[in-house]
Amino acid sequence: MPPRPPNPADADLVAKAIAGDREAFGDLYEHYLPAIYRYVFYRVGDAGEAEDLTETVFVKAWEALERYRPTEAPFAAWLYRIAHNLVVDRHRAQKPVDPLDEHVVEVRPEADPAAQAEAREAASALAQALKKLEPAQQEVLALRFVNGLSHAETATIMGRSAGAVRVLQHRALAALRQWLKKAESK
Amino acid sequence: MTSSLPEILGECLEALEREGLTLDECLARYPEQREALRPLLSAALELRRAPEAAPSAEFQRVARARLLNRLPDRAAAPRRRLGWLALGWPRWQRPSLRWAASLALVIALLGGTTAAYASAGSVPGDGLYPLKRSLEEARLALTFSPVDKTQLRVEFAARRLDEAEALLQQGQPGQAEALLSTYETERAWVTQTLTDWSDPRAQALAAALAAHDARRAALAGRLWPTAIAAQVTATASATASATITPTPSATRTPSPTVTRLSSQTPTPRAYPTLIETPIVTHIVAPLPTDKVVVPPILSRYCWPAGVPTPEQWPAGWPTPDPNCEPLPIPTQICWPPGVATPDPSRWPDGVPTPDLNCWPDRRATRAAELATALPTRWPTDWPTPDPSAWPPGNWATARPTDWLTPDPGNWPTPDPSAWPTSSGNWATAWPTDWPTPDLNDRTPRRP
Repeated sequence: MPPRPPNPADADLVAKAIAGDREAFGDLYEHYLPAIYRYVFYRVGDAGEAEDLTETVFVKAWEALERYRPTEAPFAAWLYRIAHNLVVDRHRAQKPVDPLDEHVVEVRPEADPAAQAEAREAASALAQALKKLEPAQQEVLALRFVNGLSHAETATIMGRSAGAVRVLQHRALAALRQWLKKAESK
Repeated sequence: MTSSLPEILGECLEALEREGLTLDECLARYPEQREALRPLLSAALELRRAPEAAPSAEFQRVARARLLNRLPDRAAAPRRRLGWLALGWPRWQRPSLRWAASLALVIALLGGTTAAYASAGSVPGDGLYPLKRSLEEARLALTFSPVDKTQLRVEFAARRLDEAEALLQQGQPGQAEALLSTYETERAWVTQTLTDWSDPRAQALAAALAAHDARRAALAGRLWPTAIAAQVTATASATASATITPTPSATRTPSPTVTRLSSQTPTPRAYPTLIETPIVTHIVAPLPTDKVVVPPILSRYCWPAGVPTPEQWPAGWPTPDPNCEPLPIPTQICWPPGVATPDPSRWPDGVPTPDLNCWPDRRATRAAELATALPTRWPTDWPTPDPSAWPPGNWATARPTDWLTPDPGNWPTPDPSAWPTSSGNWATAWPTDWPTPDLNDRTPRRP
């Protein structure tokens, strides 16, 4: 999944939103909603939870906008960071959600029913395997491969060096491979 | 130079991403690591082929409207006043932390200790509050140990709770809520930092944070709308109907009925029994959820008579009226989590006690909620009743029967010795829509 290109009007919209312009913030929301949702979905594995959390990410972002410093991090990275913190909080506060099933995975509607069913199954298996990993491993894989961010972007969001991200990525892929193999053998 | 496997894996993945190489082409570049790389790259490619999960169509359709309705009014956020010190700038435009550190040094050198001390008890809206926050930033900037820095963040997060508590006592729930939000942001950063640590002090900090969390939960319980913000029901889907019942199951839950009136009928108010305490002593019934979006023209809130009421009624909500129409005592009372239940001693025999476990699950009503696309937060621009617009003569008739009727003959004489001596804060507890009392005029009258 290639990352969505940055919105050239971001800086302007962000400045307006910081000044209290709700409609500008609504534009930012519409632009970043798919990416943040995708990230959250593959972290929590539940469509309803992912929608709630995604919305909350933007409410928190609105509340904290005055503290956002564009010079320190891109707006998208800042949103991912808030999303990550909310996911961590949610994992701490709640019991794990039920395993994914076909009713909670929303895939692109243009696919035919058979392809949709297959895609749901694949998404479920992947999300289940991801959930077995350590939180940092889940995060690096979601950012790198589900959201298609580069090593450098992932490093910015996770607050680590690019080298540390590579090491984490290696361990995470190895762990994921183990879980997928285990799932296939069942 | 020999690269490690994580580095080679990273290079290989970048080649796949940027140069469009195939898996085999990439493996051919690293023949020695071929066997180790193949399963890792396969897993990565499998992840990359993951279906593009997207929000449901219903959610996307109403997403923007839902979000904009949930956004709090930032105009109510704390404002900074010391403009010449540049502290009134938005934080991201403010001078750097190094500048803040310099400010702290200058303040210290110029004898600013007194100002710093004086600012310690300030809350948002006070003139010294920006100084307090800037000094905190300066301390963070001058602290280089990650452990010490995190300890400071925990300490400052706790201060936000102190401030929220003070503001709640001053009757400023909006600003208190904003501070709780700030606390949560700080807390999230601290918890993330602690997860990356093996330092023994991390455990102590985690314990301190847990204690602060308990305080935060207690404060949130006093902030009515936010405490149950997640508990939303959708029974209010019939927005056009005259009566909205905000509980999903009429058979299980009593139905506080919201009646929309066609005009701006004012909310009945209690008479004060003492001039210093013009506080309503009784309000009514199981709380509605904040999903019950009551349009501004609504001004009466009907409630089953005989059901004890919560101790705190959210600011800005119409005062419940148990007299507007008869409602039976319910067989079960589902009480929203996070809202304090009434004092058990006030609970009458024969009325089921509040059940904290049966509040409707949000998930069950999610589809209807999305379809209605109603705002999820009580309108912040709720109109304050205008006493001058109250209907003459009859407004007191809707007063709850158990409220005291004031007897001007027994009107208590204020005790001047008990009156606050400071002019600084006694007026802050006075309802904003009540006229400022004239201390020289002791004639009993309606507030």
